[in-house]
This record gives sequence, structure tokens and C-alpha cells, in this order.
Amino acid sequence: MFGIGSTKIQTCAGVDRREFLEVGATSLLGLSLPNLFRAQALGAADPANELSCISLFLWGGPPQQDTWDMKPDAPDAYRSVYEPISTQLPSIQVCELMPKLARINDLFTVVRSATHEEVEHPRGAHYMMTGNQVIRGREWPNMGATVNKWGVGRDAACGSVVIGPRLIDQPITPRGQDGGFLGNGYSPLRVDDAKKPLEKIAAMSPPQVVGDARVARRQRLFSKVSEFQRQVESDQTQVLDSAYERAFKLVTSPEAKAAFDLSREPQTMRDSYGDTSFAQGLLMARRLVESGVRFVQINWREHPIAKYGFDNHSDNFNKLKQQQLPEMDQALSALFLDLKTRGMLEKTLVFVTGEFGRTPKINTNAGRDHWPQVFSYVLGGGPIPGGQIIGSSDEFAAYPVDDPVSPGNTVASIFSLLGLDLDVLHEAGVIHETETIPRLL
Amino acid sequence: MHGIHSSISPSIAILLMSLPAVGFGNEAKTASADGPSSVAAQVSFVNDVLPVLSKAGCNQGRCHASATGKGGLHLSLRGYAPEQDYYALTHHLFDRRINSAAPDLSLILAKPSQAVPHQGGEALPKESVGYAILREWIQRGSPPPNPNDPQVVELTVTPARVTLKVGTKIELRVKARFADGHERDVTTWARYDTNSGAIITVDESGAALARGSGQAAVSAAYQNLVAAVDVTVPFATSEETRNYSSLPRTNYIDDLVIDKWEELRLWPSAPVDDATFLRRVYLNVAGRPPRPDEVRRYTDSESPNKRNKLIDDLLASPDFVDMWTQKWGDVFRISREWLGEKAMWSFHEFLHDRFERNVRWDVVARELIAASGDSTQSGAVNFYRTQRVFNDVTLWPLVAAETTSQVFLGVQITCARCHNHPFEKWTQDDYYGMASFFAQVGEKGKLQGKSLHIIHDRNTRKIPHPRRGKALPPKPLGMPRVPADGPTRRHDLARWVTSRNNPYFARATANRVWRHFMSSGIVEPVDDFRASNPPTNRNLLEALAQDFMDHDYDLRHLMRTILRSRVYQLSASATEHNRSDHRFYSHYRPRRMTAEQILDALGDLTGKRQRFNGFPVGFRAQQLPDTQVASSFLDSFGRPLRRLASCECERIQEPNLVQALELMNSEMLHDMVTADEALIQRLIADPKVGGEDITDAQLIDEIYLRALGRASRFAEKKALLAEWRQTAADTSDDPTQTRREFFEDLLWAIINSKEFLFSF
Repeated sequence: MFGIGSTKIQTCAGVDRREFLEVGATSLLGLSLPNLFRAQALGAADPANELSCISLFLWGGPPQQDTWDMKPDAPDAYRSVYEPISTQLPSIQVCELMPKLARINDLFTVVRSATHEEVEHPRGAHYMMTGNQVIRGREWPNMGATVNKWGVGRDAACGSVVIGPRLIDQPITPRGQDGGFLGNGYSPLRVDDAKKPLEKIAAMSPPQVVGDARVARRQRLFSKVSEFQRQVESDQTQVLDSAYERAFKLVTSPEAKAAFDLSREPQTMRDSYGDTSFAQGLLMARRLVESGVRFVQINWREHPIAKYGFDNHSDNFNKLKQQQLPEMDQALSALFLDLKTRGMLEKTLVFVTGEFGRTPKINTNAGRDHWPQVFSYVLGGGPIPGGQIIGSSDEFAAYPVDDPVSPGNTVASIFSLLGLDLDVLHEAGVIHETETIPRLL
Repeated sequence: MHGIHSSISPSIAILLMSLPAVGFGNEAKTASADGPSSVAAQVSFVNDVLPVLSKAGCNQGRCHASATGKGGLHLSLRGYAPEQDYYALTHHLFDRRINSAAPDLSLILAKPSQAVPHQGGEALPKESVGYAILREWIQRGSPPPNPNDPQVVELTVTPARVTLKVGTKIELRVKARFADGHERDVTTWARYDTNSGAIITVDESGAALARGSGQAAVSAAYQNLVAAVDVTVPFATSEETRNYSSLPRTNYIDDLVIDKWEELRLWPSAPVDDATFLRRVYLNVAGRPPRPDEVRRYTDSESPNKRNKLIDDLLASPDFVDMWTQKWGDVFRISREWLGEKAMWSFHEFLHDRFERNVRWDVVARELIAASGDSTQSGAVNFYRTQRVFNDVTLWPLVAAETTSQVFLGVQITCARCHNHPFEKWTQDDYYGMASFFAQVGEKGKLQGKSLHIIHDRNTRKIPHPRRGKALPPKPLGMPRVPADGPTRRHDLARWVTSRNNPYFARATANRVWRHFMSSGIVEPVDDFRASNPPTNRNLLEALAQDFMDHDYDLRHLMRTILRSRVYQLSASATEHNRSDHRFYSHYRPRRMTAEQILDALGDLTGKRQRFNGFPVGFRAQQLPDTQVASSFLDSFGRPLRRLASCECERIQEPNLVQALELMNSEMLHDMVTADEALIQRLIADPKVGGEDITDAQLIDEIYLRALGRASRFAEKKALLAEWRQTAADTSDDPTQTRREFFEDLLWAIINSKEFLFSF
């Protein structure tokens, strides 16, 4: 048991890596002890598995035919105004607005046959973030919550974090962003904006007026007062002990906070991702994964020219060019290269999707509408071979031709790669689908 | 017949043993006398073939019954749709699955026996009885499901209850009775499961092994029936004698709980002391800690009856009404998000009024279930409005059926919307029979916002059963049809739900109330009653339900009975012996206050009360009508969004790191502790409560009394005074300021301590 008493406080600054990981990751990330116990008891996670996952959620639904699945031979009414360009791999072309990603597409796989039936944002988002269709009265857990419950039983375990705004489609807040029926005790920890200063994040610092000396005295008094209350214990009260131990460490240990502290990155590194909140969120995700967090979701932010993310019902092509694709191209390629350079890519899955794709035909407002029948997403890292294309769509990018991949297949693949036992998850009702993506590995 | 499938070759003799009787009405011997061909002619798709597939695991959710099947074969979950399965096995894939000329080449045999590669491994070895049965069925021309095959109507497991010592084993036997009256041993074909692997495990032959102390259920499933065995594994290892009759008792609750302890050789903790009881009962009944004057009054009273008096006073208090309104507000998901502000208030006030007047709970249930009218006038109709799915009105009756079952009957039927419940007896027929009660529900006006919204029963909607394609007549869960003589179908349902013949309603309610005070339900979770999740104390649950019915569904009567029992008034200090008991009430289980209670308690303690936007000064968190009033503190401490299912499960009362951080770092709490008008400065400066002359020891006493409802103990006070002297000696700062800050920090430490946050 970690002492809160005065003699041990000094060691906080000198925690070793293992201890730091435990604090900086496990606990810090909103994980209470019973989750850990349960994870161990259930044995649903492969203790040897070291993979983590960074999931980029491109809210709004990016157009497949203007990004990863170009159809240069389609008629004018369908075809993107942008040209396909060559990539690192001779047989693959992508949109010209993603030149940086085109140069490194040997690092990841593109699925061009993702498909489902949900045409509304909230339902589509729930499907893609949980692998399950919404049934009212039952909200499925976000992948991060499932990881919190089942994926953190290993040494230097950790939970999950969501970075970025809560996804909202007025008046509905899509489900699937929290703990769902597992309870919000399993919800990922939330950082609403990666660009906020550290002391504004997750209440990690005491009010300024409380100086270090007072923080230390409070700890000492807390420990004294608690000493006399120890006669009566229960599973619940012990959970409180553990929460406080970790909280005190987090508050007093600069190392634990460091995972969130982007100011520790060289300016050149920060610049390479780009200056937007989304881009900086990716950088924070890399730091969090580095310190042991297993699942990080970064939500795309709205932008003055594209208020609803990628929901380009009008003026699709200008929005893509002026903001969306350049921002994504820079940030995502920076993430892949950064992971690669640090040797982290083999241990980090990167998943990039929206809730659905967009209509094959261009509408009268030069936009594209919702289209879940076929869309593309990126999945790379870990043991997934780079440079693959999985599945294909027809000549209008309207329906899958080969290997249709459902959200259930997608989520099953990710959980399986993270070492979670799909059978256990299935029995627990967390997933309905245990079939994984064909030919992924 | 155990192990037969793995040890004996597929001779006809085995076929006869494992295929006895269906359609014969007799035992294996008769079949044997008739010869093999007549047996085989009787191979029934439903009674023989599907059980083989189920037992081999073919139609589990993770195999061929997954959402899209596996390897092209898609079966129904545990065989609930025989016609569909028959079609899949015989007509898909150009009949390659079945080859009656050369049965062993049929894919349904070749794959699971690994003659041809099978991703699911060797699920059905060639020597197994199951293989022989499938083979025989194919050889006889794979006859389809026959409507004349007798239906299985009852499943019995023997023994029905058993007491085992840790490490001992028992072999279960399972018998199925069919509609034509004949019985058949289906031990080999049943699927087994347990609700607590820590207490007992069971293998596929039905052999169960006791692993730890407590009580658990082993369930056996065959076709769509489930039966369970109650297993008791006593706590005491030695045969030491305990005199259970010597334990003090107040009422029947004590008798029945003590009976259970005796059965489990479990011995309770000591009775709780007065000071701890006082704070516990305040928190559990009024949702707030006692004020200093209330502590003094209670402590000073010498009446032998003072606990009972206190219980009655608290049950009659307005705080009690607020707490129960909020609790059920969670269950009914009262929220402006769904209802608009006016209707939210009308629903809130409906509940508040019913609890305040202590209206019979069966009456309240009928009011809610049969409610119609304007949502801003009749609060109860909002029960339906929260079930209304935005953008999809066809789901409305389904969600209403699910919610009504869950809230009032303690039964979850949601799974049966799409497929027969995998672990329980509820079928799609049950589900759509229940949903049919809500088919007439309709609406007028706009759902969202503040405009008028009326609920009526003039709809003519049909709710088609997904497999049968037609609507079923209204029928209550697991019961015969009820007379349709009320003004609406919902009136018929409301009458059935609250009738004394309904086995669920009183039990489900009594269990919820019991859980509120005892931290765990007799059935847990409270809304998941099923055969495979049996009560930990059946007699107690029955008695509470009976008492509740006999006293006109009076919630306060039920609560008073529980609160007066010796069992409720046990200490929270577990003994070495009963520490691992979490379900049999041998000691009180500490529980954290709810988010709202903590915030209110902090306001009362420090004198710095939070003001909620849009509400008058003094409005307490526990009085808030919904959970949409902004407060990051309440969110961190697990206030539910009221967006999920209709249950209390969305509220988090487990402590976690985020909460610890909130208490440690929040500006709000810092301000509550350190403001000039807050407690410490008042104690030091205000002659009415303390003033200049107040000693350090008196300050400690005041803080303990106000925060924890008790005096500080000698050792505590001594240690804290020593700490203060050390602090005073070490500092060169202004002594007055240092003293103030020291005691502020002490108050902060106590607020963060378990004794403040939990009821003990």
C-alpha cells in the first residue's frame, strides 16, 4: 500500500517507470480498482498482449469517393472534382488532397467495403464506436469502455481516454460514447480540448492558492484522520483508499501529469502534426499510448467553415480542400511517422473512420448526403500488414463488390487484436458479431 | 448415461438409449423391442436433432447463431426457430449439407467431425451419440419439424437443492416432460451454467463442483426451458455448534435471515452502536447526515424506544419524500431532455405527491401503466413519453413492454425482441404478447419541446411478430390471457400487474426496497428475476412480498419493518469469519452517499450552499427534478444522465479516481472550506457558535460532531492536537492565519474521508 504519510511523499517525484505507468495510466485514466479486479477474474484479456489503439472519429462522415476510393471513370454527376494521385504502392491511388498520406500508405491498410444500414449520424456513430446497432433501452459501451473493463488486467495496465468534443447531433447526443450498459464507471476519461493548458485538464491540479505546503499538510491530515477509521472496511471503502492513493500521486507527481503535457514536446514535433485541436489531440494520444493507455479516441472538431464536421451536404469540395483533408493529411501522416520513428507502430493500432460515407451522386448544393451502404476507413499498425486494400466498391462507390465488412466485423477485429477474448465479450452481450475482417492479417 | 457419447461406439444400442421414447410415450426398452427402424422413423427434428446441435454448441451466439452465421451456415440462437434452421440445413448450399445416399458425406456431419476442415474444431466426433443421431435423421430422409411431435413442457433437475462442502462434487440429472405425458432423461443434452463460478462450477455432463462458500444456482437448459438447482456451500468449515436460537429477533425478517445463516453456518457481526446507527438511518431514510442538534437530541434521549421513534420520524420527514422521488425519478428517467420542462415538473410532482401521501404502490403502478391525457397536466402519462423513441414510433410499444416488465415486474425481456432469450424462458411469443398491450397507445401534439402532448389509446397499430408475421393478442408474461374488459388494453394489463395473483409485482418491489437499505438485493440486479438468477433467500423474499401485499402495498410499512429488524441494525464491522459474505446480511455493508447527498451534506456542513441555476436559494440537490441542471461535481460523483434503460444502474456509487480528484482539487470545495463565511472562520470568529475563546480541542470536537455526527475519540483528538502543535511550532507565519488554515485543512481531510462519504 502506498503511504500517504509524510515520509513517502518525497518518493513521488522519483517513481520508477513501472510505478509511473500504473499511476500515469491505469489510475489516472479514470479506472477504479474493481475494474482491474474484474478484468483479472474474468481472464478475458491476453496478459501478453501489448497493443494499444488510437481511434480517430471523423464525425459527419467523410466521402469515400473523394478520399480513399476514387472513381475517376464515373460520370460527371458522381465523380470527384479532385484527381487521384499515385501512392507509395503502384496499384493504389488516393485523392490528391492527401499527398502526405499517399507517400506513406505502405504503413496502413484501407478497407473500401465498409457497410451498414444506419443513415443517421447518432445511430451510425453508435454502430461504428461500439460495433452494435442501437436498440433503444440498451446502449452499448464505447470500445474504450470495453477496454477499460476487460482490457486492462495486464501489468502496467491502463484505461482509455476520449479527446475532443462530445459528439452531438441536435437534439440528440449519440450514444456509444460512454460506458453504456457497463455503467459510466467504465467511461473513458474525457479531455475536451488537447490545446487547453494542463491545469485545466481533468481536475489534475489543486487550486492555485493551495500551495505545495498545504497540499502536503492535507495529505498528512487525511492520513491521520483515516487511520482511525480503518476498523471498518468493505470492498467499497477499499476502493476509495485506492482511488485516493492514486489521486494523491497524480496531484503531487509531475511525471504522472506529463502524459497529458504537450508542452514537453519539441515545437517542431507539435508543428509537424499541425496547430489544430484535432491534430494536437493525436499528439496527446501518442503520448498517452506511450505511457500505457490502451485506447484513445480522438473526435474530429467542428470548424468555422464546416460546422458539422465532415457532414458536407453542401459545398463538399471546397470544405474538403480548404480545411478537412489538409488538416487530416498532415495530422494523420505525422502520427504514423511519429509512431514509426519511435518503434511504436508495431504496438499501436490506428483506426480512422467516420459514422458512414456519402452519396455517390453530387446533390444540387454541390454536396453529398449520408450514405452507409459503402464507405472506406483506415486501419493500420500492430500486426496489420501495410499497403493493403481490403474489399472493393462498384463503379459509383455505391455498394460493396467484394468482402463487405460490417461495423461488427471491424470492432471484433480491433478487440481481437487487442487480445480480448471475443467469446467472453459475446457472452457478456458487448458484441453481437465475432467474425473479423477477412484477410486483414 | 453420463459420458456415453465419448466412450461407446455408435451402435444402434446407443441410439436406442439416447433416442428413447419420443413419440412413443414409453422408455427405451419399448423402443428396443420394436427394433431400430421404428425408432429411427421417429427421429424428431425438434426433440432430437436440435438438442444435438445445441449441446455441441453449433447454435451458440459465437458460432453459427452469430448475427451473420459462420461459414455460410446461419442457425437460430439455441434453436429457437426450428423451421428456419431446418431450411438452412436442408435447402441452402445446393443441398450439400445433407446427403441421404451417403450420410457421412453430408457437410453437417463431415465438418463437425473434422472429416472436412471445420473452423469450429471437432464439435461432434464420429463416435459420438450426437453424430449417430444426426446420421440416423439424414438416413431417414431428414424429416422436417413435425407439428405433431410432442412439445417439451417441463424440465426438472434433481436434486432441486443441495448443500455441499467445498471441494465436493455432485452429478445432476435432468428430466424433460413432454406434452403427451412421457418423460425422458436429457442429462446428456442439457446445457449447464452457473451464476457464480467462485462458488460452484459445472461441466458439460452436469457434474458440479463446490469451490467456495455461499449460495449459487446451477442452471440446466434444454430446448427453450431452463431449470435451476440451488446450491448451498456453508461458511463454517468445522462442525462447531452455534446457538442460533439465542440471537435476538424483532420480527419475521430476523427469523428468516437467521434461518439462512444457520443453513450456511454463518454468524453475524455485533449490533451497531447508537451513534453509528443514527448517521446510518439518517442517510438511508432522509438522504442526509443528522444536524448537530439532532445528534444531541438523540444522544441525550434515554428512551428505550428511541430507535423506533427516530425511524418513524424520518419516514415522515420531507427529506424522505425528496429522496424517494429522486430515486424513482432515475428509474422513470424524468428529464426535460425527453419531456420538456413543463411535463418534467408534472411528472416530478406526480411522484413527489404520491410519496408524500404514501399512496398505495399498486395504485401508483396502475396510474402509471394506464395513464392517458395531457402530459403537462397528468404527470403519470410521461411514463409513456419517456418510452417513445425519437424518430421511430413503431418501437414505442416494444420499449413500453420492456420497461413495464423491468420496472414493475423485475424481469428483462429485451433479448426476446429479436430472438428467444438465451438464458431464460422468455420467448418471442411472450414478448410480442406483452407488447400487444401497448398497441393502442397513440399521441397527439409534438413530442419534443414544451407544446401540448397527449397520450391516448385510439391507435390501431399492429405489432407483427417477426417470425410469425402477424400480431399476437395481448397476453401477460408467462401467464394465461387475461379478460379484456377494461376501458383499454393498458387497463387490463395494469390490473393484472397489480393483482395478488401476479407473482412478480410485490416481490420485485419488496426486493427494490430491501436493496435500498441493505445494499444488495435478495435478487441482484433488482430487475433481473429469472430461474438462473434465484433469490439468495427465497423465504425472506416471499415473506416481504406477502407482508407488503397484506399491508395494502404500503411502502412505508415495508421500510419500517426492515429498519426495525435486528438484521438492519447490525454493525458494519465484519468478523474474520463473515468478511467474505456479501449477500446474506451478516453485517451492514457501507455505502457511499449519492452525488446529490454529498453536495447537500457539504453545503449543510460548511454553511456554503450551492445555488443551482434557475432554482431558488436553499434548493437542495436532492430536490432537483431531473439531472440536467449543470454541475460538474454531481456528474463526477455518478449522477445519472437518465438516458439509458429504466433502472437505477446508471447511478454510480462506487468511488473512483475522478471523484477523488474532484474532492481534492475542485475550486468549489476549496471555497466551501476556506471562505470567510464558512464553518471554520465562523467557529473561530462568531461568538454564537464558538468565538475567540474556542480552544483547539473544542474546534476538533465541533468539526467531528458536525461532519461525522459523533464526538472525536480520545486518541484521534490527541493525535490531531499533536499535529497542530507541530505545525504551530514549525511556522513563522501569522499564528492566527496558520491556525485557521490548519483547521480548514483538517475539515478538508475529514470531508475526503470514508466516514464522511459513506454510511456505516
